[in-house]
Amino acid sequence: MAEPKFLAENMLGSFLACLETARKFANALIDGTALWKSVDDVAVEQIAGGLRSARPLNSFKSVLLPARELVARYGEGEQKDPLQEAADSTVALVGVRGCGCRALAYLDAVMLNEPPESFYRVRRENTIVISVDCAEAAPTCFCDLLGGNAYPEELFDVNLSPVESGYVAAAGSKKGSELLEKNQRLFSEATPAHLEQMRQMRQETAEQLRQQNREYTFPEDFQEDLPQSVEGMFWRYELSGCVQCGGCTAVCPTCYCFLLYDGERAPGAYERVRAWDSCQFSGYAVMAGPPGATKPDPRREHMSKFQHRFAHKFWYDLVNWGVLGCVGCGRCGQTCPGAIDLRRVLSEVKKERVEHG
Amino acid sequence: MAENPYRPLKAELLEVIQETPTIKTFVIRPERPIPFAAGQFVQLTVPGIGEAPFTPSSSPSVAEELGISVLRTGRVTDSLHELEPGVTLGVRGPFGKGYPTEKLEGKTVLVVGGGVGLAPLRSLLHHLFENINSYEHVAVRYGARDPSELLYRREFEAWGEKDRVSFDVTVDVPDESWDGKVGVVTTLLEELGLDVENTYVVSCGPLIMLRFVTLACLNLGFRPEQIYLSLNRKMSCGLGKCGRCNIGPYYLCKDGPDMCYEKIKDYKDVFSA
Repeated sequence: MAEPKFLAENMLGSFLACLETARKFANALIDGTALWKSVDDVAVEQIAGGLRSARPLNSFKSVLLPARELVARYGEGEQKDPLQEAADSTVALVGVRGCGCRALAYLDAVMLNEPPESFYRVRRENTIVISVDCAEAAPTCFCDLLGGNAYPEELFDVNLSPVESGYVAAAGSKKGSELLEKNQRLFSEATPAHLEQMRQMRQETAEQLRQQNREYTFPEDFQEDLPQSVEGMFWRYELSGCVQCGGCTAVCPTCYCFLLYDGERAPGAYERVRAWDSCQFSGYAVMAGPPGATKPDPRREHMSKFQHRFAHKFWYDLVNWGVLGCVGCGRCGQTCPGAIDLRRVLSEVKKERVEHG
Repeated sequence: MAENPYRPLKAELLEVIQETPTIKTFVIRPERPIPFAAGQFVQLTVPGIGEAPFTPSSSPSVAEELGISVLRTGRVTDSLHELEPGVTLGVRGPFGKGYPTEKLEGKTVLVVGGGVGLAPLRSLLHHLFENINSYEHVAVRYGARDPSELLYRREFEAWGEKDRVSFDVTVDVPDESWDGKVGVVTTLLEELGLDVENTYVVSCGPLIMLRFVTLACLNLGFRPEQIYLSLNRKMSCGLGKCGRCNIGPYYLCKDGPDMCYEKIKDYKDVFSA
């Protein structure tokens, strides 16, 4: 890779403009909270603020896997394939964090394994990832507890590290190198002072994470400890805070489960829609059953739904992909109205094993 | 570009056969053949209403026309049961791995069905009967709640008369027409007289039945790796992504829907209902 560059703050708008994609999304600071927004809907100052904040409350997954999306048309009438429309569009994501890059790696593993999810695949191929270091951690962030760093290490095209009055820009892919090369007029060489500021910023965020997470201890072997803990009393305490709102799975950058449903757009013309679903909702796993009777649901009990989320991320994903289904972004803990914090639950799993192991 | 995996093929509804008061068989002709292995399933679309997963009950050696037996039990199946031949349906698939027919070769196959659970097993029976010389013996044991709910009743006699095939049937609740056995299907397993060591079990039926069939088979000395269960949950995407059919780390639409009990026995959402 080429030497890191420096992008001055006042060149951020020009940098965003040079991204030649049909759609662009970036972190933007809205009333003190960083959120993923369409670049067209916010001012460049808000984006600058977003990129220097902790990771946004929502996740970029809604760009690659929209909350609700037309996936097929059938029957009479207009037959333009929505997959073709997805394939024809390009997108830039500006502000993917270290945890976001790990979430991308996870979604790639899940969505691109045979048979691939075609919509994700065509979007992923047409996505340019501009990542950013976390100059600050959110109070619920815990990437460090899962061995992660608060700066991107994989799957980005260009990474921006916020420093004084600008960003250190480093290419992470051929596409990224070409982007920096093609727009070199926007950049100067990064100086040793810039690189030192970057190093310090990374260290400060790491220290902030270490401080805020010092009370938590996670199991060393999730696959072993989690199944052993399921009868633990602490689960009941945690469950008592859950109102099944599904907020945790909605903001999670790795939760991907969905529902397909059909409708009639015009007489004889039908469409199929894919929408986010949540394993926390009643009815999610309901099966067919005898007519007129209550349908069987292998996870009818609230506890089995609640534990399923943990089992999927910290047990089944290790079996299937060899990676955790959690990147430690802490969005679930931030959004949960019952203040259920994954860090506390996993620390209880650990404690249960130590005490009753 | 790859084909859109969510878009159904057109399928003409050729024939509707009333099997029982609540089960009809729908014979469809997809716009292009759908070659499937016994136990693989398709997503059948009622246009505008939605789709639901069914394992064809017809012979896997015929890809041009599929027979699908459906119990009327919910939104999609209610709509399906209203349809007459001539309408256009949609179909996607096939999905899943199907039954382990190669593994069963040279063995005795104990096929245990309950109620409409005989429908997916019917495709396996077609395969086994068509290739009967590859199998030691096929023992079919079937149970339904009452005589009116017996699926494929007109075929029972012929099945029982086949070489290397035995067939027995029971109902939970008899009526005045019934002079056969009475009791749940597991009662038929008590005096099997099969060489357990050389036998595989394949079962499909309501969750509660699968649980008791599994327990009965374990009591008879079957090992978990000899037991295959058709766990037909509400598979949706068929790609192993949407998550609606998962048991532990498995996605039934991809890894099943027929699962070896050995693989799933440690996950507590296998039998809970």
